[in-house]
Amino acid sequence: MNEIEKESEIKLSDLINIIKEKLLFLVMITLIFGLMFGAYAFMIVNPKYQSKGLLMVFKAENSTIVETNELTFARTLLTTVQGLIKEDMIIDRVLERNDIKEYNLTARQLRSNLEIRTNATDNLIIYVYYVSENEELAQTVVQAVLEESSGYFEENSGVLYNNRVKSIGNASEAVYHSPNKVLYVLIGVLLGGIIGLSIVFIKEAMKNTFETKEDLEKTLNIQVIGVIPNYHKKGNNDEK
Amino acid sequence: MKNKHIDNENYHYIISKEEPLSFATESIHKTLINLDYVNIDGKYKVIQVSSTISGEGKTTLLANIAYILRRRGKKVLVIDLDLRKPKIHRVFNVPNENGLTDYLSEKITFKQLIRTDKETNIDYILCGEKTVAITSILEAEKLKKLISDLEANYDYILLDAPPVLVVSDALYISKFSDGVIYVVGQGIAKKHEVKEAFSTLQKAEVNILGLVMTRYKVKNKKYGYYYEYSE
Repeated sequence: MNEIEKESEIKLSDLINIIKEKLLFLVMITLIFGLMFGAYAFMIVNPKYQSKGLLMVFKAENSTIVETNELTFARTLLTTVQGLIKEDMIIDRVLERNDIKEYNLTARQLRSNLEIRTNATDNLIIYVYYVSENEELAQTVVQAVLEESSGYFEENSGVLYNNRVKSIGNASEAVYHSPNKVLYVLIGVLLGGIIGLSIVFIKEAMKNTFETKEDLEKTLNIQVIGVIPNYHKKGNNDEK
Repeated sequence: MKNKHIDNENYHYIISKEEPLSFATESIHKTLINLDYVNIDGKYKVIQVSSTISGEGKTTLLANIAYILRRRGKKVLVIDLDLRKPKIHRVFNVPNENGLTDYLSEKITFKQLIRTDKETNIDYILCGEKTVAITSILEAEKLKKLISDLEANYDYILLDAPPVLVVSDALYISKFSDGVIYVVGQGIAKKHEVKEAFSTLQKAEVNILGLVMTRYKVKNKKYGYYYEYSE
């Protein structure tokens, strides 16, 4: 006789039935993960705020650039400034300011939370961002960076070939930056769903009992003369 | 080791009696029809009901089969041969007294042994006082003689036997039975357990009349009595 047991096929309808059966568990585990991640995002993680400031390179009258393509060179200046802002000469100035000193920041902290961005292909703006748990600090630092950078390039005009860097406006009030609470909850829910489904499907795959008449007949090679449904005494009509 | 599948099963609730129009009752009727085909020559009178482990629904099925056969006008006797965990007294809602063990030790008479249930009109023999000497009881000539004497008076004698995997009692009992209905509860015993128990029966050359899958969980839930369960 055929010794090899054929693995029963898994039909989509079977999977859907399994999900229906274990729906309560799945919903619960999804909710639990959603809540866990939500609780983490809402209550444990400290919210961070971000302030923004803008700088631009201005071509001076006595600019010593001799270049046929000014626009290209302007872009080079942008990236030069971007690279230099985070260097010691400007950072040290920022840290020495009185309004910064009271926050007791280290240079490393300052640098790691400071972000300088340019969009050289699209515009000539330098974006200065600072993220902190303290809204005031964020704004103060950005303002400081704006002022000190323009100051530095004013004094060391040769670096930019006599061109200037000036801030456009002031540092913005810090706005909410992270954590993305909705995202956390969504991720929690998704993770809960995935873990829940995995548990349900693995348990089902590991179940090695007889589930169908066909399986029973095939395995034992004897006719199944009856299939009796599960029932409870009248009064609890629901089948478990 | 407590089997989690034995919940508060009410053995006294015979569904074919209480809910004659239910799907479960209909399934039992169908089972009996199939059994009639197997038993077309009427050779199988003493029928044993067994399973792999406890909680698969042997006794419940047996009670229902007895009820339906009796309703058809057949003379039916139920004997509780599960001497370790007797349940037939619970089916008929009587105390487990004046049973087989008492008769075999001559504490009661033959007349006291066989009782008739007023509600269902089924004759039955209980297990009686529990004892440790189970194998000797099952091997007793007296028991063998009792059953063969009773055969003449009944159309069917149904034997409630213990699960096969647990003890070897079922094998002893098969010596007096003409055939075995083997019950497999859905999702209860593990496949390898069922296969093992079943092959034990087959090796002892027991006559298997057929398999019955019980406690089948219906997949598509609809309201009312009619469910589809086959694919």
